[in-house]
Amino acid sequence: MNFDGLADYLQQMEKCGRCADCAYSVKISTAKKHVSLPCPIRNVLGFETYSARGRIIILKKLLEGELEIDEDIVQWAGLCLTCAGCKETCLAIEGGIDVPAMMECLRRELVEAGYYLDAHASIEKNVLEKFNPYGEDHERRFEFLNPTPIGEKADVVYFVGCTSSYRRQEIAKATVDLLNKAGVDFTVLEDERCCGSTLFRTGFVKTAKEFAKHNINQISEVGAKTVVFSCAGCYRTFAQDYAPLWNGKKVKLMHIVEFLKRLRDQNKISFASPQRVRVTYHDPCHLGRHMNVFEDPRSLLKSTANVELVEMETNRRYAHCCGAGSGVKKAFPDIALQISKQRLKEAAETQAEILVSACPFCKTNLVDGADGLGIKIMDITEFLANNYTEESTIMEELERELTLGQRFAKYLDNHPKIFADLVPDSVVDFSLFDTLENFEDEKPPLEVFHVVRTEDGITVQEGKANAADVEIAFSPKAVENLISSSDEKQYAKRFGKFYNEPTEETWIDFLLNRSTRVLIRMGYGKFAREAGILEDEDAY
Amino acid sequence: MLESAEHHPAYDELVSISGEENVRDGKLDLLVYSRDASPFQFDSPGVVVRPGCTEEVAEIMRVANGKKIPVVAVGARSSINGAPLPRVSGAIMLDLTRMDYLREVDEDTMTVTVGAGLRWAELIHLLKEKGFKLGFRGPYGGNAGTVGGSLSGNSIGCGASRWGGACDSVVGLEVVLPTGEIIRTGSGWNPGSKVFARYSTFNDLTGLFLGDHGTLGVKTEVTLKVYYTPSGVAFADYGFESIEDCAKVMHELQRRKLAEELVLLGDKNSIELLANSYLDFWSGLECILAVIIEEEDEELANRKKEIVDRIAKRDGRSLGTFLSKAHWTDMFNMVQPLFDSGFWYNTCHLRPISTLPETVKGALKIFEKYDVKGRGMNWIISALGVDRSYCTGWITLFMGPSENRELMEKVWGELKQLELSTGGAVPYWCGPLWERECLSRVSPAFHNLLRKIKGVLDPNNILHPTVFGL
Repeated sequence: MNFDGLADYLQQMEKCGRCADCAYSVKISTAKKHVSLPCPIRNVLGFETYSARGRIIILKKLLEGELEIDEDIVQWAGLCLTCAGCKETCLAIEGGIDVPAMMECLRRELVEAGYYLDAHASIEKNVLEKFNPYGEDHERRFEFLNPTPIGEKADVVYFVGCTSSYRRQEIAKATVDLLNKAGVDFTVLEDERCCGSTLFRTGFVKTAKEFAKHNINQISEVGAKTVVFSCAGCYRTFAQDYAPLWNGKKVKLMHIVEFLKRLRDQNKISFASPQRVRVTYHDPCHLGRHMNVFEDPRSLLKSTANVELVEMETNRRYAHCCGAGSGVKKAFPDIALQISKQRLKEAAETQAEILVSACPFCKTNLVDGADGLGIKIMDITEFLANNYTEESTIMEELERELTLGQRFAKYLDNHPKIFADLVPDSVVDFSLFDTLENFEDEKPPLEVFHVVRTEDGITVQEGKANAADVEIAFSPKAVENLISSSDEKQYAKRFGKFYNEPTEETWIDFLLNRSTRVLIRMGYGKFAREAGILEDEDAY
Repeated sequence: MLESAEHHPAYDELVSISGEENVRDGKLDLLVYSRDASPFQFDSPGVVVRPGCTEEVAEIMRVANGKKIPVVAVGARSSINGAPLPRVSGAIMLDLTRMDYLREVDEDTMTVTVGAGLRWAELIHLLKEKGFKLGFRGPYGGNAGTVGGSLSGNSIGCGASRWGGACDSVVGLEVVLPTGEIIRTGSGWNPGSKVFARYSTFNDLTGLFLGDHGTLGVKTEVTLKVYYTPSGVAFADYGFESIEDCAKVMHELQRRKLAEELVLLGDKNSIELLANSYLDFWSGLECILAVIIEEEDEELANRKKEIVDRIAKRDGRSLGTFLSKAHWTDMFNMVQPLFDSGFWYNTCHLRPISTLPETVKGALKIFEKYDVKGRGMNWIISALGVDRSYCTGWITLFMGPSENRELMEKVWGELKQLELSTGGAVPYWCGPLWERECLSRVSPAFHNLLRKIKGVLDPNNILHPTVFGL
């Protein structure tokens, strides 16, 4: 058979140096990156056949015509979570070699040629017949949500998704509850159907696209400006798989965590736990790696009074998958369960009482694997709805005097020339730590904000960026000194001194989130020079 | 899930030893395990087994020896020399990555004992949590590279400037012999002793298995030296206008043993590839030397940096600390971004530092002769200070588009000849990367001794047959 689509990835495949980072790397201490054995399937099955390096070797042989399509190939193609842990770990090309996209492409071409797993075909059958992958009654989809507005004109559509409609109704109820409490004018679609996520992921793309068109039309009819999702899979599908199908329609797509964070920032909602609780957060692949939303859920949890957020060993862009995605749970339930148990072990090691996630599918698989572990598993919507409070915890902060971090942010805002050499869309986190040890031990910063280089200047934004290129850490004394600089030149000189000759009181350090080579090409080399880091004292 | 083909003559025995879930002989599995990170490819293994402990390895060796089936022991196969690839058909591949445990950190004797399949980066992580560091940290591919794999191949890499290569950090080994017996080397020859001293009582049998490319035994456990995590770290980058000046400074710093890591970037193209904007603000920049210092406390580290500074600035200029710091704090991640320039062809070897300029100039002539850049290929020239006073020569080619393969192999061959013919260089590992060149140079007496040793330890020649021409 022909692999015309897969052939488009050949150039990427040839950039694989077979270093095996995608299978075996642990970068926590050597590079302060929370990578630990990135491929969940390989971790469970042991053999490298399932890691990205192994997959590229096999895919190249398929393209060279040296492998016949048989049951082994179809099974192997189906047994990938497309979680993108490998892609995120890979440094060979900017953004990483896209093995998940290659696997999805292969699955599509296999399905088109009549090769697929029966379990995946049964999902398509259910979606075609019942408009949801579970084969449940379509007419009863939103029965549990009464009296939520359905099919009305509204600015905001809440796209519920099949799993929250039929298997995790508590998530839909909590989401509706939160939207109501925040006074949001919203509706759900009168005829919401499966978003097609699992079909896109497993290769049944033709059918998935039909459902995409239906959902897009439904949204257009309501006239919504914003669509909100509590399902990470639906969100990713709308944002990425539907992208070519919107035909210029302007609709803002937001996961509920982004939407709630905006409301919280506008002081329209607040959260407080009645008692102290230790929580850890599991990044859903489709929200994190696929959509770059890492910090908003954390920001919501951290701003909930009495909540202590602790991180698992792998987190954010290197978080292990829960094991459910890409049709794996349906076709290989035992493997999905083993992966879930490994993720839950990481959660248990944090000694958190509650494991919070932001995807109904993650919740389902984590609950399935949690037997006897004694950790409570909740979706973030449930957690926040339970901890909603009428009392504002934000205003008090706003009313206070400007903090050191805020004064630093203001200083940078007034001196955009500091960032003039960076290419647009460069993002830098600025974090204040009381000691260098706290930065090195990855303790939470005292304050954090980030700067985004725009086409014509910079914007300074609160909190950690979802995907910063570099995190620069400062001691408070260093910041006080820097913001008293008369101009950019003096700022640069001091910056260089604090970085090159750190003392216990005045120090600057950094953490690189991209390779040095890429950063230098983005202008960070010049930035470093302007900031005084590369200063050659003999030359001046 | 993939099923095994169950064709291999030892399949049933392997399943009974290591369990069905740890044995595979399906075609896709064998295909994947026929490659490492080099361009070489020979035969696929006949079956892959992932033993979980030394006893399983011993049992497998007894089965293989009884049936005279070849065995190739491997780690993560991140090697760039082809060494772990089977050269004969039907071999049992022992994938030791399941043996990735940390047995013990012994603060009494400052050693750590680990399973041979443990990755360097993971070992560093586990040690850091306990307040220790390694001397030699691992090869530059240490994210995936295993301790056992590096010892089989005489690896050089992070920390080698101060502590020497992988094998220099070994105190003792546990080895399964081809006939299935298990031995402990160093002070471990005495069952009542800890493995705390390498040279003790008898010959240094540890050395017999270091750099052996897996031909004499299967290393299952390794005891390495450890040190306390230092609190003083200093960094410095220096720029030079010629390779002669840069090599001169590197030589002096290495002789004085001042650096934990001393890395040289050897020409303008290499700087362009790794740190292009450095060339924008210094037009005459030809080479960069990155220096990393680690000491017990900050005062000591800073004092050492002052000495380094004084020496380096005689012929070079300070470039701040960005590259050395990025290199050290993003350990094992410097090479991978270069894959963007195409698949890599390496020529790693050892040489006296004084011979670097001649080699670099010779390499640049070859690149010019074949218009390497014009054809879409690329290169990086670097060197790492090692042990007392020598260095690695790391001249790596990147193929660019795969149509360049034929030309690439020609340039590669010529470069390897140049390297071995200048300054008495020797490869630190062999593998198919260097084997032909080395076997054509090795003295008959030396090779005969290797053959005799191999014959005694491995009478049926089952361990990695044909390697080293044995």
